[in-house]
Amino acid sequence: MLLWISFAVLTALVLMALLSPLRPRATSGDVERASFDLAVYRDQLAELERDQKAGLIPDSEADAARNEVSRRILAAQAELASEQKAARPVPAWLSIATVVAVPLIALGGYLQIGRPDLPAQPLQARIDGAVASQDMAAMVRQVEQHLEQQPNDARGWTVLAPAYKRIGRYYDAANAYRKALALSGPDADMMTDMGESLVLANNGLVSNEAQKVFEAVRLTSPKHMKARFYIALARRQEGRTADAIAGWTAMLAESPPDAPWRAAVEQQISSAGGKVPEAPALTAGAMPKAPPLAGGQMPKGPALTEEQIQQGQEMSTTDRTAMIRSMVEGLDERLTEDGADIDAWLRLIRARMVLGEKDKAADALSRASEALKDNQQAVARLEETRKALGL
Amino acid sequence: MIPEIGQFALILAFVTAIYQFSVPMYGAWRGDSRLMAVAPPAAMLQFGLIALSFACLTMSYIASDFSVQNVFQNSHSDKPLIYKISGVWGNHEGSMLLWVMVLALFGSAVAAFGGNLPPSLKARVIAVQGSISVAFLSFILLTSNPFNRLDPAPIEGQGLNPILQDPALAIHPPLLYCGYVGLSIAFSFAVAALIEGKVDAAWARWVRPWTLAAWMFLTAGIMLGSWWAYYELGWGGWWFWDPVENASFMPWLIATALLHSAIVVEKRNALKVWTILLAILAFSLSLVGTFLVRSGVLTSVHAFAVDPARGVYVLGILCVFIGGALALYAWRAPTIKTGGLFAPISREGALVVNNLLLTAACAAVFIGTLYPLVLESITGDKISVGPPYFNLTFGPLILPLLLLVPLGPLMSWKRADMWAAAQRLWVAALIALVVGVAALAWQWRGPWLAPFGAALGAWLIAASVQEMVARTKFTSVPLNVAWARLKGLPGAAWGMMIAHAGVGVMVIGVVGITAWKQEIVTVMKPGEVMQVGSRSVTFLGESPISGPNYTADRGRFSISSGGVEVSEIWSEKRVFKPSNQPTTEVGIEPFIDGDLYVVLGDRAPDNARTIRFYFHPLVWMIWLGTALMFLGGCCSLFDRRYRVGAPKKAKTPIIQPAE
Repeated sequence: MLLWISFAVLTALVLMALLSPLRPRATSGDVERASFDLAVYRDQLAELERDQKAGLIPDSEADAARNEVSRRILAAQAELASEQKAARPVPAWLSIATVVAVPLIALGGYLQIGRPDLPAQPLQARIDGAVASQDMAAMVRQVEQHLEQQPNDARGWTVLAPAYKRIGRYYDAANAYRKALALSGPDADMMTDMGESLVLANNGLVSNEAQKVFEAVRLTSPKHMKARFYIALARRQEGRTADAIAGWTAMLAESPPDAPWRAAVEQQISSAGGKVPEAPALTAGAMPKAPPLAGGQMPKGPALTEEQIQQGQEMSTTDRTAMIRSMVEGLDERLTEDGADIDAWLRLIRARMVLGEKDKAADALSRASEALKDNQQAVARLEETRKALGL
Repeated sequence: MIPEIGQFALILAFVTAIYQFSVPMYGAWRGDSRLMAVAPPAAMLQFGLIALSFACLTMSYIASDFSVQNVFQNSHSDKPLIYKISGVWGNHEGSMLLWVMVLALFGSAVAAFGGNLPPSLKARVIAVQGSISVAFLSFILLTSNPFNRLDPAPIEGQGLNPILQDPALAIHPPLLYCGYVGLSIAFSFAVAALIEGKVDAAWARWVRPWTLAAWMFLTAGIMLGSWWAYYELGWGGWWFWDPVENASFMPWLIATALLHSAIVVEKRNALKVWTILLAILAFSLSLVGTFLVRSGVLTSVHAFAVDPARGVYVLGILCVFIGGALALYAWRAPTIKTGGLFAPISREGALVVNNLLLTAACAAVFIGTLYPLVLESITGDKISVGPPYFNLTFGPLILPLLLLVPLGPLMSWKRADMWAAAQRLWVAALIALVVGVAALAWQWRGPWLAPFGAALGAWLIAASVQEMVARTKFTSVPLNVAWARLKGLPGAAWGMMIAHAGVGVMVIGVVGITAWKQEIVTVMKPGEVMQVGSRSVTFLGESPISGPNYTADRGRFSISSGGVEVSEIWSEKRVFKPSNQPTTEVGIEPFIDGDLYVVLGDRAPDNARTIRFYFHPLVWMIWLGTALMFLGGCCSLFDRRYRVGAPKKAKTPIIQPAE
C-alpha cells in the first residue's frame, strides 16, 4: 500500500511541476530576442575597454574591434525595433493530455516491467528474519555468521550440516558434520550423514573416505541401515556385485515390511541383477509410498554391467564421472524412443539430480509425465518424486 | 519497496523527458513563451527523478539487496563500502543510468543558468537535450533495466571484477561520462541553432564554456584511466592505443578543436557553420564511443552478433541522432549568415589550421579504431591495429600542430604578420634548441626523434612562459606594475598559457617513457640485488597477506641509491575471494627523474620469483601535463566575460558605441 501511495505522490509532484508554467497567471518575462544579443555586445565592449586599459591589446586593434562590435550593436537595435510579440493562450488540450497521459504511461510501463509484489530484501534484514520467513539460504547464512563468532558451538554445526545438504552444498555439509562430530563426539547418525554428504558431493560414488566412515559406523552400531546400504553400494561400485546383493538382501530381511527404505533397496537389488525377496506384508502391485532413503536424494545410477564396473575401477574420478554421464545420456536416449518404463524414468531423473543437472531432471520429469500420462500409478509416483526432489 | 520506487521514478523520468522534448519544441515553433517556459522545470524535474532512481539503486547496493539482479551480479556482501557504491556504475546497466543522470544534470544546468539565453534558443536546447534523454531512457528501460528483480533472491552476490576495485577506477567513469555527456550540450546548442536558423551572440558564449567543462572532464577522465592502466594492469605502459582508450580520445580531439573554433565565433562572429559541425561531430563521437564500449562489439564482432539487442538499439540511437543532426546541418547550414572575414595569415587562420590538424588526427584514430571492426565483420579476418599505425598517422599530424601552437596566440585577429610573431619567440626557440642538444648529448644512442620531442616540449613551455612575461612586461616595467598586470590578466589568457605549457610538459613525459624506458625481466631469490638505472633494488622476500576480500603474497623490495637505502616498496599477487581471480599490485616508487616500477611475477623453483623491473623516466610529467591542461581549463572557465547578465525587460536600451 505504501508503495502505491509513494507512486501517487511522485506522480502528483511530477504533474504539478510540469503544469505550473501553463497556468494562465504564470508570468514569463517576454524579452525581445535582440536584447539578449545586445547584452553580450555591451559586455564585449566593456571587455575591450578593460583589455585596452591594461595594455593587453594595442590601441589600433582595440579600435578595429570596437568598430566591429558597434556595427553588430546597430544591427541588433534595428532588429529590436522590428520584433513583434503576440501572446497566445495555451491550448487547453495540452494540460488535459498531460494529466491523462503522464500517469497512464508511467503506470502502464511500470506494470509491464515492475514487481510491485516483491519487497526489498536487504541482506542483513533478510538474515535477521530468516526463521520467520522460512528462508533456507538466509538461515544458513545466519548460522554461518554465528559460527564465525563462535566456531566451537557444536549445536551450530549440527544445525548447519543438514541445511547445507538440503541446499546442495555437499562438501560444506560433510565439513560441517566433521566439525560437529569433532566437538560433540561420535554419533552414528551424524557420521552416516557425513558419509552420505561425501557420496553426494562425489556424484554418487562412494569414495574410500566415505566408505571408511560407514565401516566405522557399522563397527559401533551394526544395525544402522543407512550405513549398511552405502557399504553395499560401495561393494557394487567396486564390482563385488554378489556381496552387494547379499548386503541389501540381509537388510531387507531385517526390515519391517513398511520400512521407508524398502523400495530403494529393492530397486538396487533388481538393478544389480539380483532377485528381490518377497516382502511379507506387501500385496503385489501395491506401490511403496515411503519416500526414498536419503531425503529424496538417493543416488541411483543407471544399471552397470560387471564389465563397465571393471572399466570404471581403472579410471580416474573424472573419467568415471564422464562414464556415468555417458550412460545417463544413453538411458535418456533410450527413454526418448520408448518411454513406457516408469522405473527407468525415475532412475534417469535421480541420476540427473545426482549429477547436479536440475534443469535436465525437471525436463526428464515432464517428458515422463507426458509419456506415462495414461498410467495413474506412474503419474502418482512421478508426482511424489517431483515433490521429494523439489522440482 | 526501494528498488520499485527507483523503477517507477525512472519511468516517470522517461515520461518527463518526452514532455521536455515535445512541448518546448512545439512552443518555440509557435512562438509561445508560456509553452517554452515549460522547459526549465521539466529539465530539473527529469534530473530529480533520475537522481532519485540512482539513489534507490545505490541504496540497494549498500544494503546488499540481492533481489535486484544488478546488485546480485555485481556486488558481494564482503566488499568494502566504497566499492559497493562504485559497483553501481561498474557495470553496464548502472553505468547507463549514471550516463542519463549526467545528461539530465547538464540539461538542468542549462535550465538553471540559462537566464541570459534568448527564450526560444533556451527552449530548443533543453528540448534537444530531452530528446537524447528519451532515447537513452528507453534504451535502459527496454534492454538494460537495472531494477530487474530476482525471486527467490540469492543469498550472496557474484562480486565485482577485482581488477575494477580501485579508487582511480571508481571515479574514472563518472568523470569520463561528464565529459562525454557534457558534449551533448554543445550538440544541443548546435541543433537548436540549426532549427532557429540563427547563431546568436550568446550562442558562442555558451557553447565555449560548456565545451570547456566537458573537455576538462574528458581530460581528467582519460588521465585517470591511463594512470589506472599504468599502475594497475602492470604492463608498464600508460597508453596502448586500445579501442576503449581511443573511444574517449576521439571526442577529446574534436572537443579540443571545438573549444578553439568557438573562440573565433565569439570574438569574430566567423566560422559559425564549421563550429556547428564540430559540435555535432564531438557529441557524435561520444555516442560512437558509448556504442563501442557498451555494445560489446570491441570484444568481438561475433559476441555482438550473438546478443545484438543492446548493440542494435544503441546503433539505432546513433543513426537517428548523428544522421538526423547531419541532415539538419545539410539543410539548414546554408541559411546561417556568415560573419567576419579574415586573411589566411591571422589568429583565425591559425585556429583553422589547429582545427584541420586536430580533425585529421581524429580521423586517423577513427580509421585505426574502426577499420579492424569493419574488416572483421565483412571478411571475418581479425587484425589488430597497434602503435606502429598510430605513430605513422597520428604522429605526423600532431607534431606540426605542436610546433605551431606557440605562434597562434601571438598573431592578431583578421590579419597578422607571421614572421614578426616568430621573431618574438626567439628566446623560446633558443631554449628548445639547448634542451634538444642536451638530450641528444645525454642519450646519443637513443631514437633520433627523442631529442626532437624534448625540444618540442621545451619550446611549448618556454613559449608559454615568454608569452606571460611579454603580456605583463616583466622585463621592462617595475615589479609591482608587472604584478598588477599579472593579476589583471583575463582568466582566458591564463588558461591558454597554462594549458599550452601543460601540453609541453606532457610531451616531454611521453618522450621520456617512450624513448628512454628501461625494462628488466629476471628471476630473483630473496636477498638478491638488481641494478635498475642508477639505483639498486634488493628483493627482501615475500610474505602472505590477507585483505578485506582477498589474500595475497607480498614481495618486498628495498631501493638504495649510491649505497644508501632510500625506500622500501612492495608488489603483491592477490587472489580475490568470491571469484578466485588473481590480480597484480604493482610497486611504484616515484623519483624526480622517473618511476621505479616493480611487478612481482610467478613463482620459480627455490623460493625464487620472476620479477619485472621498469624504469620510466619522467613519467610524472605526463600526469602533471594533463593536470596543467585541466587547470588551464579551470582558469578559462572562470573568465569574467562568461558572466553576462540576463537582459531586463526594458525598452530601447541606450548604446553609445565609441567610435
